Amino acid sequence: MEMLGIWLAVGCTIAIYSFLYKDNVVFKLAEHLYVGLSAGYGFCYAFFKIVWPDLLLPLGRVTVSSLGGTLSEPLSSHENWWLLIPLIFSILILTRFFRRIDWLSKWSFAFIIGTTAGITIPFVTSAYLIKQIVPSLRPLIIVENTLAQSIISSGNAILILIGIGAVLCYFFFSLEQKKTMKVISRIGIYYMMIAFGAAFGYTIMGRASLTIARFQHLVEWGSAKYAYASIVLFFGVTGLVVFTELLSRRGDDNKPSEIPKT
Amino acid sequence: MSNSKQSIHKRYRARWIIFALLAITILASLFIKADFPFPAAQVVQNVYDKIESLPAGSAVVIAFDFSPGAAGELEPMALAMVRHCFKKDLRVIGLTIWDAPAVPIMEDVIKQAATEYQKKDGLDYTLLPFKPGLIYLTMCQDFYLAYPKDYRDQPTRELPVFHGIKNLSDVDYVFDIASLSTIETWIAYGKEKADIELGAACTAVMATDYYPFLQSKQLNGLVGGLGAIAQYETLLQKKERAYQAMIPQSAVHLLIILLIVIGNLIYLKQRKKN
Repeated sequence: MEMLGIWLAVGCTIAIYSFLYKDNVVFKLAEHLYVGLSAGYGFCYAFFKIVWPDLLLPLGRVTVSSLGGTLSEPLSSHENWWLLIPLIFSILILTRFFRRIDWLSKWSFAFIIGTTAGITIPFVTSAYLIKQIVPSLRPLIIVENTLAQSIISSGNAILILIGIGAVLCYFFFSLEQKKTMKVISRIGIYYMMIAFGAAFGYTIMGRASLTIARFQHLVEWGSAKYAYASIVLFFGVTGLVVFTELLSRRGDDNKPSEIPKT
Repeated sequence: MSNSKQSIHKRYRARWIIFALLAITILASLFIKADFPFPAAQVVQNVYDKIESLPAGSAVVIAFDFSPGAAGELEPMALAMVRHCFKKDLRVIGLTIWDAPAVPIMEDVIKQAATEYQKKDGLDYTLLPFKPGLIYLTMCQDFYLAYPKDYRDQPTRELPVFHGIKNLSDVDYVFDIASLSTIETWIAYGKEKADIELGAACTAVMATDYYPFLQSKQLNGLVGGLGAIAQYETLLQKKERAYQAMIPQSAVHLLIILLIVIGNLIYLKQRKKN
């Protein structure tokens, strides 16, 4: 079973990489398999691990108990009745598919947005705004254990202050960017360019890491232990891409040529 | 052939050359074996030191908030972190808040490390099922309300691994391994409400976004990208996939720098010509 999984993984990896040649049938097959599997897995997991045990099962127990039925597990109380509220709200969202009653879904969205905003705003304001402003307002002269550390910390604080001021000036559109403002804004641009450069460098590292990880697996799975899966499937998938490409080209040749518009 | 068609054809050919060069570079460098010093950055060292400072039996929550698409980059970190916790005899509580497909990855990683260090399910570690949304808030109030059962449908209240834990505040350290924005939500809800000690690992693409949180001490440390993970592996003296990827990584970086220089030279030459 493990071997089958590895062969599938290798086949799908090479099929996805075949996109580097061009968009082709084999790539599309692997792509649809990936999207379909992810969606299917996500749906089943959400239904069987969340909706069923946390919503439908407790409600079902309440219903059985109310109708005088017996339960294998004792029901502590009827406290699970409140679950009807999320159930109703969930069903109301589905009314978007019916034009006449789609306005009902607005109740659910209003509830979701209102609750989320109410919960989120205080936390986010504190975490992202207040807590971020505090370290920006540090003293410029910082005394540490050694002179070198003090110079580095103080230099860092000064650089942060200059950066914040310069970048804010760049985005301050109420004043024309002339003379002093222009110079400060330019410093702001340099700061941003350094930040974008760092982000770009990290992005390259991230993408390269993913490619290297795939290649590490392909090399490992190309050994005799895995029946040379990578080597066999490289030629297999490449052959399939070439074959489907030839077939599609042949199909294009057989198509009746379009009548030129006069 | 018109000039524009010729130019498209040339660009298409150049694309192929770049892909081929990248593939050859990675493949060739994967076979180079070298041992080199790899000093850890302070932000990585902080995470390592935090785990080292925890007494045996402390509880650590490890959030596996990454999808299989980012597993190539973050799975080595997850393995290194779980290994480190088991090495120090810490209790590990694995969970995921972002993505259901992270559950099998979490299971694989924790079970691999548990086998290596002979740790027992329910006693030394546990895995919690995927719960979406603002489950942080429930965790801050009552862990057992948020997760009444573990992944094997066993009541969490009865598991020895949860001994002494009522809510998130009772956990000694939370470490989020994220390929999406869950670090921010852990900061906004977990850190703000429960005042937890929080560390994080993320993909290289996201790393620069989280440096401000280090300065404000909202994160005690950050392991950003495969390079930082290799540093962590070096600290742990378990040089594995991330460390082995550093030679190809360096080779790819050199190649890209070379390509940028060549591209600029070609551009300058063309500009001069025109």
